Amino acid sequence: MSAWSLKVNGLCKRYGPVLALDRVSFEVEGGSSLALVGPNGAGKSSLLRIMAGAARPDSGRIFGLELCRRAYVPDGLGFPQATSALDWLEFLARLKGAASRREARSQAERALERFGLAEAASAPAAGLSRGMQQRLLLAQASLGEPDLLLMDEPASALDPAWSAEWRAMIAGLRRRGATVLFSTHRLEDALELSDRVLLFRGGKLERDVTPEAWRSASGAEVGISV
Amino acid sequence: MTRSLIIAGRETLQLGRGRGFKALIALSVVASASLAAAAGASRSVAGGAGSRVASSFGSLVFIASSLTAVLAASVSFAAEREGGGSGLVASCGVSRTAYVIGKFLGCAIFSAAAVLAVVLAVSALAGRGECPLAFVALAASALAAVFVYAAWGARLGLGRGSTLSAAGRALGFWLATTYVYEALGWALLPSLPYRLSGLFLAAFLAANPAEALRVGAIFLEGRGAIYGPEFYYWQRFFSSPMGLAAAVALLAAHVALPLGLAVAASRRDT
Repeated sequence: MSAWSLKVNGLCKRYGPVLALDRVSFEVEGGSSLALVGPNGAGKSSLLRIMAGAARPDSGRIFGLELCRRAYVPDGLGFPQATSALDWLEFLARLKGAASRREARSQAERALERFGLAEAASAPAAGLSRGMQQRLLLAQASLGEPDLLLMDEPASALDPAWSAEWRAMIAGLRRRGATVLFSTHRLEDALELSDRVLLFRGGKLERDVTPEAWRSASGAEVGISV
Repeated sequence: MTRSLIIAGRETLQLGRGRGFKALIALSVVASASLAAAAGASRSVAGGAGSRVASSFGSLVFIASSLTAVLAASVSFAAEREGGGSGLVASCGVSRTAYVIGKFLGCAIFSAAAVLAVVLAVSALAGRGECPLAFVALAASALAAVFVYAAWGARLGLGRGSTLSAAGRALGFWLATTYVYEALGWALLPSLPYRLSGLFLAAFLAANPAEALRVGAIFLEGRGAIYGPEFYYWQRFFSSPMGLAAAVALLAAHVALPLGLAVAASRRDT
């Protein structure tokens, strides 16, 4: 178990009239895995965006974020039109602290290889299929050995074979002591890959339980729409 | 700073590979060739040498540089914000200030390279017998226009709405600063008391980037007299080292203000 931990304290976020997060608080121990579940618009993506630094909360704070290297997999991305998959990964590897351009290139090539995109390295990232773009997002998240991986519905566009690779990626990261937070609509993924399941509804954190506690709950509750 | 430079390098490459750049190159080639031909014809009729070609290109180069920079920057910023790329860059630990400065530099370098290519082509094709300093002044004023308008492009691209609306805002801003402001200002000037007109004129010219750049370019080319005798002392001031320092400070303020607003808008947007 890693020494560091995160404390999410009273996060609120509003988009116009919509309250996306309503005083959300919880703690995350380093090295653990948390699944965020809930219906569309429950606040999962907003929470992940704030934790990734891509959005700011209206109020509330997250303690401990400055101690870790983050990686973020957004739920879809408008890839730049004229940039190849390899160049795009190389750029992100440099931003994540690769020592030199050559080192960044090498990291990018390894990541493409791992996610089966070596043959598409020179293709424009914007022209790849939805599934390949999803793999490219996972590939960028694997750069720079992150301590905290934040993934917004990462397996939604993956076929079964690459879904298995994504699970292997999470297992590998956890063995290394990294912390993983992911949102999903697949309850079986949430129960199998996490230490805790956080149920969101209407911007509020409604339940925070272990998979075992979730399973042992009543059938009606297990079948809840997420 | 390192991260800003990485972002700037990537931005320049990305803009250079885009379809917009190819269209810009084609337009530049056509514009350079036709302007060079027009200048050659004018010289054969009027004879003589000096800085006529550079002077006649002044307005065109200003239009090309300011429009290219404001559109390239606004569209680039808006497209990345709309697509979610800026959020991903932020997750790599890049601050909003480093992100805005990096993208701004990339857009400015791209636009400057395109504009300098036009100036070089024109000076090579039609600049025989012309004063080389006139072309240096032309290039300097074009670069200044690029940096000022790219900074405003960054601010306009980080507003709300789509990429298309950002391009619309940029075009509106460019029209307002280059034409509408000038027309309103000169229309208002005669109605002011004589004592206030000098002060008004100074504020009027300094407050708008387009006017400040035009005046700077005119004085750099040594043509301050065309604004009338009241500019005699201004011309002397601008020709002095202190005047040059004041002009650079004014230019820096015209770049720093929109960039500061862009960083603030970027923070608000998240």
